[in-house]
This record gives sequence, C-alpha cells and structure tokens, in this order.
Amino acid sequence: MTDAGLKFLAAGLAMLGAFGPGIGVGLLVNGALQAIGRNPDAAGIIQTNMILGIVFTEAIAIYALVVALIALFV
Amino acid sequence: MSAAARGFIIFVGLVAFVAIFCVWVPFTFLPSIGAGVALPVISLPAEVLVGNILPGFDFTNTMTSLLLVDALLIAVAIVVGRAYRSASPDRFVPRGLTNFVELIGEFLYNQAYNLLGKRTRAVFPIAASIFMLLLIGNWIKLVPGFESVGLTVCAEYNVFAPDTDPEAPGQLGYRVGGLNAQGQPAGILTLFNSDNDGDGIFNLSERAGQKAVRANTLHCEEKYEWGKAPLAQAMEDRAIAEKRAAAEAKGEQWDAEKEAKARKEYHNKLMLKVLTAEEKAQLKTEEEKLEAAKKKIEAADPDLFTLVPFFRGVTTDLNLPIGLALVVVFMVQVWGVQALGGAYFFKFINLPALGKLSKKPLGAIDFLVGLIEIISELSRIVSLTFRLFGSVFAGGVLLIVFSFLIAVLLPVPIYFLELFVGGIQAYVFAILTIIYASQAVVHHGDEEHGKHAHGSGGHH
Repeated sequence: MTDAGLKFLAAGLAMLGAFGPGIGVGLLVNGALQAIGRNPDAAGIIQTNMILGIVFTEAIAIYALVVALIALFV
Repeated sequence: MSAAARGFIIFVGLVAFVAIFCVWVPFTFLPSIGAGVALPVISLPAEVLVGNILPGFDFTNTMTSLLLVDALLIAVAIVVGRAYRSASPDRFVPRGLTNFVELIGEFLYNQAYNLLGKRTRAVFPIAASIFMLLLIGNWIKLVPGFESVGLTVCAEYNVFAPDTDPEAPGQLGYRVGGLNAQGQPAGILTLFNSDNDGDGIFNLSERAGQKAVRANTLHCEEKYEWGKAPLAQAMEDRAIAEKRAAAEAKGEQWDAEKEAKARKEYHNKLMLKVLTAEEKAQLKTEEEKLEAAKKKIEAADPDLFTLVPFFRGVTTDLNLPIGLALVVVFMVQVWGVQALGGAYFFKFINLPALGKLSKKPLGAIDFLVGLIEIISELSRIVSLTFRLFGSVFAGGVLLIVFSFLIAVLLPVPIYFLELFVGGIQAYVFAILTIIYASQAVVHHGDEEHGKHAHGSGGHH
C-alpha cells in the first residue's frame, strides 16, 4: 500500500469518531421532541437548548473530522 | 395541458440543463480548450501572500480578511454609535443597521444577564465583540470572490525534504504555512509525489492542482525562472542574503556576478533534491545528476498551478480560534480573581479542604477534584479552538468539493448550511465565554464549603 493510500485509510478510520456523536444527536432530538410533544408551549426554549446541545455533541464529531482533514491535507 | 405534462417538460429541461452544464462543460468542453479543472487544492495552513514581511513572519491570506473584517466592524460601530448619539434617547427609534445591531446586542445581553447578573458589565463587551467578529468573519467568507480570487502560483518542483535531514530526497509540491526555525517550510502540500500505482511517473489522475491555460504558463515562466510562490521567493532571498553576509564578513566583494552564481547554485541544490539516494549513487558527474533531476521534474508536469486566494475565511486558520480561546480562558481567570480574590485559586488547589483533612478525611477527594479542574480549564482551550476551526474549515472543504463536483446549483443548499453553521458557531463561542465566566465568579463547592469560604473571607 502506498503512502497516499494509507493517508486516505487513516482519514476514513478517523471518521469512526462520528459514530458516538451520531447516536448522541439522535438521543438529544428524541428527548427534545418528546418534551415538545408533552409541552408544546415550551417549544421555543426546548428548541434553543436542543440546538445548543447538538452543537456540543457535534463538536466531538468535528474533532474526528479535524483529525481526518489533517491526515489528508497536511 | 395537464399539470403532469407541464411538470414533465420542466423535468426534461432540468435534466438537459444538468447534463450540459454539470457534465459536458466541466468534463469535456473546458479540458478541450485547455482550461480543464482537476481537483481542488486544499491547504490546511493559510496560504502565504507575502513571504517574510517581517523577519521570520509571513503575511497570509487570512490576515487580509481579518483586516477587512476589522475595518467593517469599526465602520459599523462608528455608524451605529453616531446614530445613537445624534438622537435624543427618549425619542430614538433604531432603523436599518442600527436596529439589526441592537437586535443582536439585546439578544446576547439578555442571555448574559440571566447567567451573570451584575457582573454582565465586565464580561459582555468581550463576549459580544467575539460574537460580532466571528459572525462577520464566518459570513463574509461566503461572499463570492472569497477563497476563489487570487494569485495563480506556479507549481514548485524543488521542495525541501519535509524533515530537517538535508540528505533526504525532497518532495514535489507546494510549500505552505511559513518557515520553521531551520528556515525550511513548515508544511508541504504534496501534489506530485502521490505516485499511486508506483510506476515512477506522476499521472494526471494521481495529482491535484489546476491545469492552467497556456497564457498563464508563459506568464509564469517569464516572471520567475522557477515559477515560485511568494514564500519560495522569500526563502531564496533569505538564503542568498545569508551567503552575502558570510562573504562580506570575510571581507570579499559581492557583485552581480557572484549573486547570479549563488542563485544558480541554490537552484541546482534544490533541483538535486528530487533525486533519491540510489539515483544519486548511480550518476557520477554533477551534470548527469542535474539532467536526471530535470527529466524527473518534467515528468511531473510543469503546467500545474495552484491558487493563492487574496482572502480566506478568518476562522479557517487555526491561529484565530486558538488566539480567541486563549484570550477567553485568560480573561475567565481574571474575572474569577476580580469576583473572589485569591480564594478563586482554591478552585484548583483546594487548600481549605486540605486544612480540614483531620476533621473531614474525605476532603482529599475535593483536593484531587481541584487538580482535575486544572486539566478541564486547559481542555477548554482545545475544545473552543477545534470546535470553531473544525466546523468552519470543514464547511469550506465541503463547499469547494461540491463546487468542483458539480458547479451549477448544487452548492446553493450548502451555502445555506454554512450561513447557519457560521452563526451558530459564533453564538456558541460567545455563550461559552459567558458560561465559563459565570462558573468562575460564583463560589464553588457545596453549601458548607460556601459558608466557610465566606467566613475566611471576613478575616482578610
């Protein structure tokens, strides 16, 4: 296998880190939608906090993405 | 005509449009006139616009856009400030830009006030400045022309080895990201050396970079013998200046002839870098080696160019996010000390818990937790930096990859996504500043600890 091939493989493997945050974002939205279903009046606050939570969860996936990008482009 | 028939005609038109402009034009027509596009060149470090502008300091394209963002912010501040000052406060109705700025400011202020109360005055200016800077910085990079208009730079075939070993064979590619302490490039964007099938020849499919039109090639060859990027030119000038200083220190005269000879030697030395150790061992004379190096370079295709944009999104350079994160984490300590005095540092090294160890042996856990707080404080720098940098840089990569796949219409939804991500990331950075500040200015520990801290505060 060449160096370039290994680089692509490394980038692909690094993106396994998106596995957990994917589940996490799903759980977050699940909880938020259930909460909105029970209390539709609070939809605005719940939505804002949900997006904030999603951003923090997503950050973990972004770390994996940064590792993949560094493997590819540096 | 029924709705379905009308829909069918529109659908056929759309398919024809996509087939012509998304397939025929980029993959058949443009290459046939010599303006074909290969793959985008993506460079993680910011590209250098002017090499060595200060000793050892290169001017990158993220700096130009940061200056632009600063100028815009100052202009907005002046315009809005004047609008507020000119009208009497009780009859003032904000309009247009003033209204928009007030909307953003009020939204953020309310959030900050809920978390910080009377300490909002200290924290809010910095958090809001960061928010405005990041918001404009993230959005302005979506303006057409950003990251797409710039200098075409000739490909370099003569790059140093990436490590400091002077004997190791060099890599073919572009130099990016400034120079390290040894005066060698900090990073190399390898374009030609991805010889995937291992036949020793760098084929079209194996490389990135834009194939330039013939006029550009001629221009480049005319301008620089070696078709250099600004950084490469700066490196050469630096090496020649060193030679000159050494010669003058020995009392020798330095003239144009000597300079030309020194440059020629520099070029030859760089050229030989493309040969591996085995290839060098096989060839005897200097001329043979140079000839072999030249052949290898020509096989790598000299018609390749890359684009050094004049402007690049400010947060796609790691330096801005890490700078902001350091400022925020430092200021959080300052606000903590302002609010609690020296007792703030008991959060990290929990002396009261250590002092009461004989009464409450479990206080040892509190002490260890305090040590962990130090690590969590440092990890805030990392998380703030990479969250911002990663999401914005990945967005840029997404945009350019989509644009190179199918340039027509397809990138439009990605632009909407980027607007959203840019706003959210700016907001998250600002709100995290406020949250960290609010955690720093309150007494820590459980109720009993809190009381004790107040008591000891009274003794001071």
